[in-house]
Amino acid sequence: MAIDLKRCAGCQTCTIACKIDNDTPPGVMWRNVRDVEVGTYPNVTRFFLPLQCMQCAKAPCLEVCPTTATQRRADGIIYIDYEKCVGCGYCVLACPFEARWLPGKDDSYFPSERTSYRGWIPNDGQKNLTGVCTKCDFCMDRIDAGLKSGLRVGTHPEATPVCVNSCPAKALTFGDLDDVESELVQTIRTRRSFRLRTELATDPSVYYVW
Amino acid sequence: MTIEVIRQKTWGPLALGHYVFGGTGSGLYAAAFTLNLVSPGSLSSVFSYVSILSVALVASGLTCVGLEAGRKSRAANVILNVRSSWMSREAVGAFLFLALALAGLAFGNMILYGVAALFALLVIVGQGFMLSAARAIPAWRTPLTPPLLWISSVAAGLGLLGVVLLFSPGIEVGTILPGAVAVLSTLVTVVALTYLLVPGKSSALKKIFDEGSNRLLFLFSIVVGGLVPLLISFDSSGPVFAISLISPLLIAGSCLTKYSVLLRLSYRAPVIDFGETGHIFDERA
Repeated sequence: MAIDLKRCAGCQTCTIACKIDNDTPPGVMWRNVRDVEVGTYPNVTRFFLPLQCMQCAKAPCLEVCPTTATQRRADGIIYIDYEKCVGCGYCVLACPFEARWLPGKDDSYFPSERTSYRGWIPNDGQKNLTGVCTKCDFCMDRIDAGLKSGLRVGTHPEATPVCVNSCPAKALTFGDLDDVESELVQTIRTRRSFRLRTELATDPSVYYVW
Repeated sequence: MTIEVIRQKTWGPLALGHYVFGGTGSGLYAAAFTLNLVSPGSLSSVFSYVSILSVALVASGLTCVGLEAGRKSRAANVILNVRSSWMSREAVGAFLFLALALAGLAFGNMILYGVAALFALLVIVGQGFMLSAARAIPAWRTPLTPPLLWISSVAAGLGLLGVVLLFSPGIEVGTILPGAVAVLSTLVTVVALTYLLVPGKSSALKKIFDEGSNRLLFLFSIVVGGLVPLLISFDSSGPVFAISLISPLLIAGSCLTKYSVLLRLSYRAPVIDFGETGHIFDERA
């Protein structure tokens, strides 16, 4: 994913879209946008920094998980097997991007009207997040469903994460980092870009461009 | 640009209990076995009591970590990733230690004791590396964190051994412990002081020590668990008197150190550390 800091207006639409689509419990923000100010008056700059799981190539959460609940797919997406997770919280402490959450209760703002439109396992079509760790998974179910239908990831909305689809400023670009022809790779190559906390050598897959 | 640091809330008193009980129990067993090896037969009469105490402490530590888990019924799953997770390795070490220590008790076999002592060391080593793998916490991901935890656990174990020996008639405390105590107290002091005074490049870690009374508390733990025992170990009043003072100090110092590191210094670094990457944001379009 590439995030254009010049386009991001901090509207939090992506945050809400993620919350609705994934029906995350109160207080759990798989995606959030930080309001950042740098510099000293009068030379001050303000920008908005969306944060989510960085899907690191050398993910510390994957390394520390004692139950192998945290796993990496062949396409690089890191996900959690909720049936294996014991909720030890070790991954929460290992992730330097505050991307992982350990909700005590699988609650909802509107318990009788869960918002997730997708079928989840295992209980009555809803995932039970009580006592297990949870995080952004780049809407991998959408991606899988879209790929099955022959759609292109990052191009067709049905095969693209909801945050990317929802952004009114088109600040988010999603695709395959191994595809040099993709819009994602072209964006990263032609613009100035950086990744967060590179000194920790986690090799994040999310680039910020400006 | 100020750096905001927020204390983690994921691991609490139960995690501290795991480190204190598990580390002390493993340290006790390892210390007792090692001293018995150095001075053969000197601790034979109390080794069964030491084994029982060690097993009880390590089991308590495992119970604490089981209670801390969000899904307690699945707690045994923590042994599934020995390939990369230090939590798995430590858990396996703890379970094997329990089994072998109990077997050693049942059969009185020195080889069983020895292998159990090796797994006790694995528990101690695992606890240290577990913290250093948590990259979100600057106070944990330093090269000195593992040795600090290791020495702290062994010190607590040695302190507890001292208490056991004080209550064991016929054991000559003075011939066994004083040298070990002096060495360990020195190590505790040196390693802990280095950890405090050399925070490295991390600006977040410097700020963490500045927060509240963190620095003072950590210094106090060094005094209690390192400096004072070291000074007392030079006292010539008599080894029994010295050990009776030093033993509880070593235990208390170890508990304080682990409390400091695990619960007081465990601030999360901000995602954007302006000291290290913030210069990027200063560039104008």
